[in-house]
Amino acid sequence: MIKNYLKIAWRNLLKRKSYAIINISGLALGAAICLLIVLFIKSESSVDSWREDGDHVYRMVLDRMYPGRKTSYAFIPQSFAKTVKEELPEVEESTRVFNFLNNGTFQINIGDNKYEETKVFFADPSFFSVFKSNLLYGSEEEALSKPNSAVLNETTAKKYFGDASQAVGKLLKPEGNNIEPMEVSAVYEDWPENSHFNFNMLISSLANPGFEEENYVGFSAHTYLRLNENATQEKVESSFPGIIQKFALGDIERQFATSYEKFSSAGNGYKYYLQPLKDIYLTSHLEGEFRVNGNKSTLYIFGLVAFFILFIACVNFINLSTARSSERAREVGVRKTFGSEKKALITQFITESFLISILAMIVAVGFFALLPPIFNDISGKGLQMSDLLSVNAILLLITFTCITGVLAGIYPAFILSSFQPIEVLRGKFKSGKQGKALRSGLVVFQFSISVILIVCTLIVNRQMEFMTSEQLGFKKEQTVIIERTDLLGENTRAFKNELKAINGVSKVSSASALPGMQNYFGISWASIENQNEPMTGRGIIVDDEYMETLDLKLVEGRFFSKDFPTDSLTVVMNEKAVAELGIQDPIGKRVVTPEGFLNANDGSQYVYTIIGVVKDFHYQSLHEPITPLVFTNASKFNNVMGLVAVHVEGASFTSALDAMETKWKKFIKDKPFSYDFLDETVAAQYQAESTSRKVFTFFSFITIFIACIGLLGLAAYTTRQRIHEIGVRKVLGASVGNIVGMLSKDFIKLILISTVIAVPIAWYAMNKWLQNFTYRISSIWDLFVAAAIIALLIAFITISFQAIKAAISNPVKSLRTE
Amino acid sequence: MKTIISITDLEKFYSTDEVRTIALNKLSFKVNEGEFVAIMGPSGCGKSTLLNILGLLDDPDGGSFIFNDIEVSDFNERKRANLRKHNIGFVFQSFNLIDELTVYENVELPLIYTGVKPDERKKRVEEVLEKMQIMHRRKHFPQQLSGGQQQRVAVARAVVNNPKLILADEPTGNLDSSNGNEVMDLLTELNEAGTTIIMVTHSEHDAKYSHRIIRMLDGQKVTENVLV
Repeated sequence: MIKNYLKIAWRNLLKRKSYAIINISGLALGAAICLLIVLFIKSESSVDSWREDGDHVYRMVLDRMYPGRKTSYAFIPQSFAKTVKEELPEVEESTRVFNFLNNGTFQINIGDNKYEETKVFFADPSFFSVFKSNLLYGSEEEALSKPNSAVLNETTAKKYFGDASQAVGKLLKPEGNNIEPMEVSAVYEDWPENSHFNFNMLISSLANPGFEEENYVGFSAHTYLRLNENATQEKVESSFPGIIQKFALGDIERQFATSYEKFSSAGNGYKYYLQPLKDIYLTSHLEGEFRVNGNKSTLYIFGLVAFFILFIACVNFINLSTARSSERAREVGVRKTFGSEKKALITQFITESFLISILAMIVAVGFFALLPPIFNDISGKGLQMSDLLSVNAILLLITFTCITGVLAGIYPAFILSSFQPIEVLRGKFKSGKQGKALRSGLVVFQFSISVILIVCTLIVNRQMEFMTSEQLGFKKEQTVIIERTDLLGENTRAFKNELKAINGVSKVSSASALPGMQNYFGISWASIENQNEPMTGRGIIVDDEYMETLDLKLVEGRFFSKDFPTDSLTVVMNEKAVAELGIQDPIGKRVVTPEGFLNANDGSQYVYTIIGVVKDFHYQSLHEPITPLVFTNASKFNNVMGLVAVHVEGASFTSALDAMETKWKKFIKDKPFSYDFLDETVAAQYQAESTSRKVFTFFSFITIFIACIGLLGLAAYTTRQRIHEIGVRKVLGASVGNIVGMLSKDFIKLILISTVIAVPIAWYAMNKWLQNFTYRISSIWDLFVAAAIIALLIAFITISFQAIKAAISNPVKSLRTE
Repeated sequence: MKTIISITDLEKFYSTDEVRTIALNKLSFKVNEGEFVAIMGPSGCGKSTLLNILGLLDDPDGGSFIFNDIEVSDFNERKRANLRKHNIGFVFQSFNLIDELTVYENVELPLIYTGVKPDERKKRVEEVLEKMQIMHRRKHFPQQLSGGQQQRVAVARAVVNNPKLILADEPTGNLDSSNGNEVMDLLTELNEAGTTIIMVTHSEHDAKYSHRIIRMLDGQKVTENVLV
């Protein structure tokens, strides 16, 4: 019997090839996307879960409260790791990871070979007691226990020594400065990529005695704790305030030159808490994360989108099947007449939808092979075709096949099998009215989703444009950032002068940070004139050309200048800093900071004078409100300013860049000239949004495409059903336009209804999304209109393809078909 | 001779929102086993409604219908389907072959539904295809055949199960006269071999092949002529 069903199903497919292609390709595309998303979700939610004993590992992090705001950090003062282990019996082991080396990048020499190694961190000897890993060579006890010991992962060891087993005992010579050669003490198996951080090389933290100094206020160490089996996160967290009281108070009072009571009553404070290791990747978005972490709500959205896309593809199948029901009606009649029961017919039609579903899955695997590169490009993830080969993925595929087979087949099966043979065999049969209502409903559903996605895409796009092009308060175009200029040391000024000689270069400035970067330091300042609480904000060290180079606006006073030799003891502030300090007429007012490097070496405090106020500008992303910013003059800090900004105007950008490189090589022979563009640096802050933008665009394209495939099929069948009517109308004088209008009208009505449904949903969702931004676009209504027009246009083009074909056909032909 | 069909005061109504049409109006007659009965009458006289009820495709609104000594007027769809597939074969004006199945498979269909084993099916299908002289066409699809050939396939399908009764609804309506005659000859042969045939027709010529003609008008029997 099944054989007979399959035979009929197969022949049906062959007979209506275009219908089969529409059905199968729509389903396949939907399934491939859905599969991709499910694998993506799985990979995202499995980060760090490969670590079998990871359930007891936590990261200690903090919320730093400032008056009226807070910042959360992934790293904490370096002394806590030791203290919590000693004080809290629940803490079995603690370890610290320091990410000091220019984002983990490190030059290393082995013999004559030079390597630029990434993901190099300092780590405590206890590292592998917290992060249990597979030791390949060497000994775990000695791994990081000596000051100049280093640990490599297998890949790095192979890269350096050809054979990982040869690595232990070998010397690594770090480039330059005063770091001693290090001895490889152990080689560990590579950690899987899905870890919230990963290392190529670890250097014992004992190498730097500074790491052992007592410090409870400066944030520097990623601190991980292994708790014993009976400990609870809550219990351990509840002990933290006590530990602050006992150990950190003195440090805090010294640093901020105020009593802890006054400090905290002004709204300052430290709230330490734990993050379970396995939750870090999806839930933690603090300052100083090792990498850009994932996002739970993104996964929910993706999951929803996956479901909708598959459902929309199934809807196509349902719609086309019921629309075609009149063609199958006679077969049903004949089968029933010759003794088939309804149950048998339902089985037959479900078998058919399963066959289509199976074929679709096969095609889906083909599509899937094409998708990962596109999707990875869009989302920045590393999915591969080989991910499909896991048992889970194959089970998933089978599940999809079954779900699709049943979901798509069940309704048409019941409709088709319930036809009465006498009616259909007499040819009285008309495609059911209840079927039409359902089809309309499903089309509305498909296009509602499509319109929602179009709206989201448009709004995300506009917000992105706003963020990168709006008045940020500085000029970001045509500006090159030259990196690692700290290497120039005394030659900085000479290098800058050389740069100015380049055609088109007018402004050159050294600085410790530029807009869009994370490296503004935290600092507090107190006014001598008024006795208000100290103001905590960000700090930056710049030279006298910074304001000009970035085109910042001066509100009052002046910026640093060569003409004033006393400028080393002056500061310039943004408006926000002046407001938070609570001072009137800021020019000439005096301020002090407890920050060591801005005071005398013997610890006595310098007094700084405010000489200028610049207009607030967005030196951080538009997610954040503008916070206080204090500029300090560069003259004594040449070596801390790792960056030089060069503004190019009125000349070829590329030739200017080439010239810069030549100048660089003149001073620095053995280090590559590395640079970035200011506008790209600014844009990089919105990487997450830029990904959302691409992902939304991708999904809305796919959704619309699948919905249109369905619409195309549906339009073809309704047109065919009305071919007689079209013939009669044409004979009576209807124009092509009349016919196209008549055929399109019904569908256009449905699209309009979809828009009405989609608008409030999209409005609600996007309003929520926009709340993420302190600075956001305000007017979005025109985008709803635009989305509606786009949907209508796409739908109209899809339908009119069929409608025009029908309308220009010879009426005699269509009348004869009846 | 045994009575295979006996209907008494059979009624059937069709209702739309405003109008109630009487399709069968207290119709009564009997058909004996081995008879060949033609039912004639103008369009809308209730012939097809009658045939549907006799074929257990539809149920009457009133009256009695005894098929093979069983009262079937109150049968539900499942029971009717069961009785139908074992006892009744159908031949339609528009052939109603399934386009996606070959000649062989079309004929095989009723045997599948009555649960005949594959070996037996093959034997019986080939037998009947030989008899209808379309064995050479068994792998063709209906669209590849002429109308006459298609109707021969339809007849083959109707008889493959050895039904007691064949219901033919204008079997020659879509055929030219020579193909029509061929089909009528086939039906006559079947009848002579013992199968009861009830045929609805507009054609006086076809009706002459039968033993008895029942003429209908407005859902009622008007005359009955015995030809033999």
